Amino acid sequence: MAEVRAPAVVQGRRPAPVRVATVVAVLVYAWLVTDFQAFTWPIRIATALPAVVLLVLASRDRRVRVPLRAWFGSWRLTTTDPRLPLWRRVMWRPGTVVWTLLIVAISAWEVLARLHTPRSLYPTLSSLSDAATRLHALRFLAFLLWLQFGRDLLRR
Amino acid sequence: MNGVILAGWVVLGLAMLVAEVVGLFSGGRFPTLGDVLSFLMRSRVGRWFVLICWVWLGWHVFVRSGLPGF
Repeated sequence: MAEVRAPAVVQGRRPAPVRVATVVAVLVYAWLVTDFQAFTWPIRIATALPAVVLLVLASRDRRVRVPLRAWFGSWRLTTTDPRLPLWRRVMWRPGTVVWTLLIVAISAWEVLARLHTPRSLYPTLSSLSDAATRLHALRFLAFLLWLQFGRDLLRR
Repeated sequence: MNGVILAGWVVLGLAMLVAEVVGLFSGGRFPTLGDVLSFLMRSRVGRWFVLICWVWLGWHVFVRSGLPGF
């Protein structure tokens, strides 16, 4: 089977001057973007731009992916032994259980907060992040983290 | 109800942190969030789902609203 590699642009293998220029451009961009006010068109466009770039790069990634059916099959959450009762056929993997519970709990908590007001008593993730990123420098760091997270996802 | 939602966020944040730390020090026996994301992104559908979630996260945090459904 051919070795699966991410495109060079995704892997970040570029000459040093290009890398430095890219880093500086990203830093300047993040600093300028995070100066925009929320709910305005400038921040919408400035946030959409890296998102579009990432999605375009992702669409160019030709690495072979597991078909959906095979992927579901790889979960192996149950054994197939029909002699066992249903609850014993479930493979209670700690990692799967814990992370599934956490993701479900966070989603439920976000929905619960969204359904209630005022926001000061029922904070959502965005209102919490808003409070945490009042300072421009913190908003700048958060934007960089978001970009880095996206870059990391591209490599997976 | 005052502060319950906020306390819930703190508990959930700490729980994620603990799970991540356990994953990092478990020598592969317990998955980190990165392992979970890698697993989700093994399929094309899962990959696009995670990437759309990333876009949503940025939109939610920095734009906060504006487009229908966002």
